Amino acid sequence: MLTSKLPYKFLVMFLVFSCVLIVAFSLLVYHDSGKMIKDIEAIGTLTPEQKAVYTRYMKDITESLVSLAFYVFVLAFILSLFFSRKFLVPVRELYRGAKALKDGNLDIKLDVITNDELGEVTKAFNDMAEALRKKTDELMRKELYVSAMLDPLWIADMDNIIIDINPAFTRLFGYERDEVIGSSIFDFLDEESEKIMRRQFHERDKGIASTYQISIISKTEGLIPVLISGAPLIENGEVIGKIGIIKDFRHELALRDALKEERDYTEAIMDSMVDALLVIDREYRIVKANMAARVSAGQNITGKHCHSVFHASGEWCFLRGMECPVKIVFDTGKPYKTIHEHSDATGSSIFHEIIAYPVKDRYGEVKHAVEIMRDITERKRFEDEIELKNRELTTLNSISKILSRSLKAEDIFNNVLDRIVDLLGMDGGGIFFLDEMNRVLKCKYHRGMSEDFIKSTGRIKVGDDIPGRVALTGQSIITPDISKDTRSERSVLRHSGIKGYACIPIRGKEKLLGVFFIFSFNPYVFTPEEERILNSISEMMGIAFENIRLYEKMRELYEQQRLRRASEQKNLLDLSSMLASTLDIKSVLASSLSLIKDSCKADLAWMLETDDKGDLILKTASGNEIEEGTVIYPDGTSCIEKYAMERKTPVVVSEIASEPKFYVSERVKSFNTAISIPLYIGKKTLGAFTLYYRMFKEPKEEMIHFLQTVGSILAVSIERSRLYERAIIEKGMADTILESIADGVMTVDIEGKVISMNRAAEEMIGLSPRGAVGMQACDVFRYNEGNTELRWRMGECLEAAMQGNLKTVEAYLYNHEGKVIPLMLKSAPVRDQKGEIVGVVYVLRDISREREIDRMKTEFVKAVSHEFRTPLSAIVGMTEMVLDGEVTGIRSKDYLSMILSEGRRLSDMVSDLLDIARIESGRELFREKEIDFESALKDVERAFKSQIEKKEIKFSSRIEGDVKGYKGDEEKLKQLLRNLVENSVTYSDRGCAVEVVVRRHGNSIQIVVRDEGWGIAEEDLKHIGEKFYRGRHAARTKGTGLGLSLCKDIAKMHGGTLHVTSKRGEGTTVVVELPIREGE
Amino acid sequence: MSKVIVIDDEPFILMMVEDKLKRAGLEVIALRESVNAIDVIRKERPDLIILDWMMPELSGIELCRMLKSDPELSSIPIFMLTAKGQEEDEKLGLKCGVSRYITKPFSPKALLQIVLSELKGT
Repeated sequence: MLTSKLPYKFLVMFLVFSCVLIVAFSLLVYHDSGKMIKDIEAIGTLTPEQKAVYTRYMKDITESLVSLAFYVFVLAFILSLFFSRKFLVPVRELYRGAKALKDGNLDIKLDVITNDELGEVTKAFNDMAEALRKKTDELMRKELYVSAMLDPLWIADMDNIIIDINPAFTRLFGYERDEVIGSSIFDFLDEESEKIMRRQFHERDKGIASTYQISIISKTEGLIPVLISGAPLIENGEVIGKIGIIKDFRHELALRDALKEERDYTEAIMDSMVDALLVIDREYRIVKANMAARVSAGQNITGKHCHSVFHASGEWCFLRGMECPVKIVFDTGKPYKTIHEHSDATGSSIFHEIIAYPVKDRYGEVKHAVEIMRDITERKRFEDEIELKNRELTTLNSISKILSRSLKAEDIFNNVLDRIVDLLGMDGGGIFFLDEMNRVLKCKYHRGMSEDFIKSTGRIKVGDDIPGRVALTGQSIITPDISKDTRSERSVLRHSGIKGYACIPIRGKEKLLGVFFIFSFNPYVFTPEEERILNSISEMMGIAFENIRLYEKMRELYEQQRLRRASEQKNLLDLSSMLASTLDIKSVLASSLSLIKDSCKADLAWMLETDDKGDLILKTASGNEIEEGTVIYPDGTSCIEKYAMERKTPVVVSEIASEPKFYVSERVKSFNTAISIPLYIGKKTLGAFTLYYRMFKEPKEEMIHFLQTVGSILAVSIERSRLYERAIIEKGMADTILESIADGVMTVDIEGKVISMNRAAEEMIGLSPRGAVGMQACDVFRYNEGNTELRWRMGECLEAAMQGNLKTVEAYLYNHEGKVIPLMLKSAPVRDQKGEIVGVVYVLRDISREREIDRMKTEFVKAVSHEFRTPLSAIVGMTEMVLDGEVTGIRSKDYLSMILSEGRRLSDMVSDLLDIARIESGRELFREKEIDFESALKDVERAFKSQIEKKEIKFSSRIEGDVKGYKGDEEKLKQLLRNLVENSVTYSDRGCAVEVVVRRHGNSIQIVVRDEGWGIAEEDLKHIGEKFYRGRHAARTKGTGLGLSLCKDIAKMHGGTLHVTSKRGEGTTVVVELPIREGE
Repeated sequence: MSKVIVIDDEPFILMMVEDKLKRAGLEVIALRESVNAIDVIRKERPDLIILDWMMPELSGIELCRMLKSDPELSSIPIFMLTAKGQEEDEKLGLKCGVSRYITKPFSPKALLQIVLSELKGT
């Protein structure tokens, strides 16, 4: 079959046309044939039969043609019926579709019935319907969007007439669609908004979109602030109108206000922060800075680079190898804390403690860093100061340790020098000691200087150069740069390269001992603190130096004493053996005198006695041939001997010729020095013996003392010789000697049996000598097991002495009264005249006092080190923790204040010690002032208020009688009161009473502090007031053992006394008696 | 967590030691008085006791003796933290059963190390 319908149509048309032609032809044939017949008839040739045949044929042809036309017509009709059906169905379908489309039914889909042109048309129709539906859907959806838009929207034409709005517009502004459409946009705007809008439209006409804020007048609510996003409507490249999407801005405005408020608030908070706060971007630019930051670094720092603001550098800190907390935060994304030195707006250095935090965006990327910078310049300064103080204290402590531990000058001064140089970071220093005889300073210890330099400058005359000037004036010279100092104009130091220089005098109690100096090759400014330290070190050195001198002197004295005692003992033994070996007192005296003369290396010795007439006659002489009994000075003559006898005291005349008050006998006029010792027993004066020297002689005290001893022995022996001449000799002079010696003396025979024992020994042992005589010496001490060691030692001594040696040992004696006495036990052989050893003499010396001094020294060291340890612990430990950054913020401030308070405690202790030292040395100024005891008592009570309340102490204070007008050192007396009350409060149990009374007592003021505390043990009582002595309570309480000692010194300073009475468990009463001086 | 009782009548020292040990994550009970300490120790059963010697009313050494004579408490190690620096004091302390004798001034860092090593040991 053919797909096209055209051939069929052509065929039908052809058939219909053929049919019409056939009919027309038939009619024509019929008409023409009739006419032909008539014409033939007219001619008349035609027979009727022929006519009938013609007529029949004509009729047959017409009938055939008509039937043919009929058939053709029928065929054409059938064909057209067939084709019209084929054509009508799709056309009808198309008509239906078109009608449905017209009715708005877009969902139509026509059946494609034929495969011909109409089928194609149907398909095209279907496609068209589909496209239309889609487009409509799209439009409907758009319409829906617009309707559903929450934000209002308007569309206006070029004349600003609103042509459309969406429902949201109605919702927001209350106008119905009909009310708005056709109105001008400006009908809905106030004046201000209209201006803005017109400006905007100007833009819009150029085809530019923008967003702006105006207010639209609503139907019900008045002006509503809105944000409009306006855009031009463009068609074919031409602006045909505009669309505005309106955003209700009330909420945003409120939000913006809130935000602004919030931001203002945040900024206010930031600005109210004491610490500087910066926000820094990745370019290291300051994005934000709070007030503190701006004040510190400059108002216009925002936008600048942080390194240019705080480090005055154009380069990033990390490029210069410096630590940059911001970079660390950017790199790690974690907070970072550090301390930096910055420069402020004026360029001076400040220390910042920096905490840098990352500010991350929502992807976790660090966009900014926040730096909080705390100005810790003060704290740093404070910490540095504390550290310095700490170092100073440690140095002072170690210096004081060195000074108190060693008595070796070399150790001490070398060590001290090292510490000072070390402490101040100096390049060297030295110590000059003053040679008083030659008025020369000699540099004994030095650091950091060449030997050559020392050779040329190590000896300086007092007054010369700088050390000499310091020694002369006693004033320190401290200068940051000696080469520029006017005082160094003539000094060798000026061109030595030394810059920073300090020269401090070292003073002893009474005089200058030397100077010490330290120097630095760079200029060095000594702070007042450092000057103070140098002064206290010099003070300590002075004390140490004197201690050393004292110690050396003591050693020397001890040595001298030992030798003197040895010679004395020898002399005395000689004397006693002489006295024992002769019956003649005269020869005894003569020999004694000669012995004395020799021993004292005198040129003449004589002994004068008063005769019945009162004249002074010669008893005996050595070194001059004068007859016994010669009257030397008649009665009434004013002579040296008489003077000594009258005063019963030795008289030394250094230069006889220059003492006009004495008449001098011709016999001794040639001598220069005379030492006269009176001889007396009790009130009775017997005479005097005198030693004469040709040379000037300044006898030592020991010699006078020895001569006095001899004098008393001689006096006794003369007196006794007078009374019991024989008897005394028989008894032996030795006893007398022994009795008068303070040391215990015990003599034993070669078998070790006790021959004699003097009173001192007897008292020491607590035993009667009679009981001991005849006993084995060792057995004398057998009564107590504690004496085993002593007995053992005595055995050793006996052995040594028997071999002719001297021996000295130390041991403890447990005496009969239960007392333990430390003894120095000496033994020496006793020889007869032939020199044979006939016995042994033991000398027992009580060395309690020496031991006590030793103990006190140990206690001192112990107490000082112990008392310094606790505060040092806090200082060292807390400083360590602060420096390690383990405590921060407020806590670190707490720590620092604790460090300060402990530092003060240390300093108080040092002051107490220095106070005592000062008072004892007599260097403390007495600041006399009238004392108001009433206010002093109030002050004290106030000072202890919290302690009193805590321990529930019943505290009372009162004044009795008239105590006004007393003048004293107020500070010191207050300190005394404080110390006494503190003791009472400390050494009392909860709830005990403490009473303070100040009263007039005769011609003095009495301060009485009484408590019901723990009391003081009897053994401790006698040590009360000794420095650092801490009795039985030491284990339970803390203290320096300096308080009472200081009180005692203060009382003494006022010419008064301090008395303590106490009983253990009952309480203590301290009475301070301050005499009222004349004129008060 | 290990528990340490620190007893010292010096508040600053006490606070410092407490801070230091707490920072190291130890549980610290700080006591300023030694008198009732034994009751606290009995109740808390610490792993270590740090004691000052010189305390009023009951000295550290007395308390140490009391603890060491109590069979229940005698196993708790005791550190003596004291200003008494004499050799004989230390000897006496060790004789009374003190595990470590630390003299003041001391480094909190060093103290912490000793404490930690002691606690690790136990």
